[in-house]
Amino acid sequence: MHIPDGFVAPQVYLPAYLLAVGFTLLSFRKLKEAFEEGKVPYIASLSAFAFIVGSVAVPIPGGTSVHGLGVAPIALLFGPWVAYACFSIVLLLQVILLGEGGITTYPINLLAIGLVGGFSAYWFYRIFNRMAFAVFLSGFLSTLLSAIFMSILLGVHPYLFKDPSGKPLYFPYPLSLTIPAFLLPHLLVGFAEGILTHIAVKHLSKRLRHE
Amino acid sequence: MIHLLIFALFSFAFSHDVEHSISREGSCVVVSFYFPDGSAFSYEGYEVFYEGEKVPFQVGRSDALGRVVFCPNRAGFWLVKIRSEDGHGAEVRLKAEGERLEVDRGIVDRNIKLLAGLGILLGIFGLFEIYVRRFRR
Repeated sequence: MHIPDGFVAPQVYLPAYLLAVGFTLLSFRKLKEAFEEGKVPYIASLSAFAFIVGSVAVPIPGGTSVHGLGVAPIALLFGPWVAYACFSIVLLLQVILLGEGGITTYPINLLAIGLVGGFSAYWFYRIFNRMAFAVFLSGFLSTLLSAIFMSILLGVHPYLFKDPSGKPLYFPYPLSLTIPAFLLPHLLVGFAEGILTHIAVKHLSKRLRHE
Repeated sequence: MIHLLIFALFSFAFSHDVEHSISREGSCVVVSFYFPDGSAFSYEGYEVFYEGEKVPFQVGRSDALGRVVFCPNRAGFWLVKIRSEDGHGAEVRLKAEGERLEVDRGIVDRNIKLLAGLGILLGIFGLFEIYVRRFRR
């Protein structure tokens, strides 16, 4: 889900930068308020886990690969703003060190994973919290929602940004291709993400209560 | 947490981005794109540009082995862009000069970068804790 440079138009990534920077400043303020000494190792470990999971390529049939997000456990245990703040660092390191995603598309990736992924995980859990698999569902559905957000954002590019001859200037594939191309592989990713979220939250929530 | 750490350690065997290798065949350049597990980035749309030009020198789809082959008609920098419908892709910048080929590429192994990233990440949280603690005393 890390979109590289050259896929997104400046008319999209410049406003996205403003939005993402604004949210980042707000999220660090929230992180500072939520920061308790006993919680630091947990937040740092889950961020490190997200950094690794985001770099894991799982080859799937169809000649592509997918990776997990790791945002849902942080959002459920520490709140969506903390998850967003952590992902602003995780994604920046992935861009700079690993070349995953681009500098221009950094805010797009941050909004898709940190904002849509983090907040949807949190709200899905609030909605389904009486159900037995609420944690799994929030991990699963937040992954799908992030994928849908990204597929729509890329899929509208060929309609909005083209040269006089009609040739797309940036991402060339339309919504009819991007939505299934993102959604189908992310059904698998979401399932794995749901299981990982369930394991992480189950193990850590008990420990956090004792901190 | 132990499960997560085991998973994280195993995951070092993988990586996410589309990688590439470059070779020269006579007067032509062969750029091979593949996922880190070695599977080819096949049948994906690509464009080759001479640096600074907006009209592509060549367009097409990578072959079954994920290769893009083009034959530069002049010396200078060339840009190969390849992308798939699901948002994967890469941009490769290379300099072709007669028989010589220069490529922009990192010199540090990916796994070392991954470990460095983990170290930096944990260090940032350590510093943040020191910063927050300073104001709470």
